[in-house]
Amino acid sequence: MIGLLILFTFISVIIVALASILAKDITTSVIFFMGVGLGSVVLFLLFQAPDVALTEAVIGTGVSTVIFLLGIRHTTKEEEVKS
Amino acid sequence: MNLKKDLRLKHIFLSILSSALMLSILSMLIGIKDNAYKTAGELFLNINMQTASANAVTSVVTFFRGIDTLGEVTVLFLATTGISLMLSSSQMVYDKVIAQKSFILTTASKLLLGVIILFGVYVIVHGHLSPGGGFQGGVVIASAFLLLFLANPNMNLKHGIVTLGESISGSLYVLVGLVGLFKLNIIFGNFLPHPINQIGELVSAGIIPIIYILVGIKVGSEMSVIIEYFIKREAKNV
Repeated sequence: MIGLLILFTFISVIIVALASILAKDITTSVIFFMGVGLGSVVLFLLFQAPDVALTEAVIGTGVSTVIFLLGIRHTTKEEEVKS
Repeated sequence: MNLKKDLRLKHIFLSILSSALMLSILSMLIGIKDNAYKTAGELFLNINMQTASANAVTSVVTFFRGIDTLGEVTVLFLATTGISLMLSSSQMVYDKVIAQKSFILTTASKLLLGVIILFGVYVIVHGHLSPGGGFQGGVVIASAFLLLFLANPNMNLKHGIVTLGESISGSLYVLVGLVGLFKLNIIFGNFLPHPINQIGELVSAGIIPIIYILVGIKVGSEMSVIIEYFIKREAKNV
């Protein structure tokens, strides 16, 4: 049973990762990347590693997404002004 | 033409290799039974009796691999130094895009700020009892500061206090490790009393909660400074 749940999460993480790679917009890509982090939180929990899951939930899903989005905003604004 | 052929061969080879890896992982996953993990956990719990910490991962992180944790803290410190070197300037202005504060955000930040900081402190202080610890709790506290920055655009961190807390906790962390080295000949040795019959209590496990509180203060202040530098930009770029 738990093997099937792990398998389902595993496949959905791979699908979300592919969507993150293939997305045209970079903001969409970052949001899908957050989904990869979310799926790996569930995977870590199912593999009985709650410490790693907590770290991934806080850093991988929370702070790294915020820092990516802020970095995108820092870098793309000048191009928008020019065009 | 030749290059194209090479690339195609490499692609086919790589896809065969990755699908073989994927198949082996899938076959492993299907074979997992519900109680397959018990042996590794029992092994850790047996070693864990030496440190009297209820969370086995914490005793690994702060004691058995204490010097690795010192390295991680150093890496984060260097990253913060680099980011402040690159992004800081004497006069920082809030970016105008998110400067229009919304009513929902300000109200929710007032409600949620205390809860988030309380949760971060809980994760730090209970690091030797439950999952979590200094790194996770510190980042939770930094996310509370992120909410504060989003809600109050003109807020500034008091850099004197943040720098003081960060440097004092970092120095004390190294000092605790050195005291363990001099008293017990092991770096980060547990020189405080840690009786095994107190396992599971809040004040137990010797220096492990002290180390996690110091790491929590250090990581929280560093991540708050990183988020502040990212959210504000230099005056000359606006």
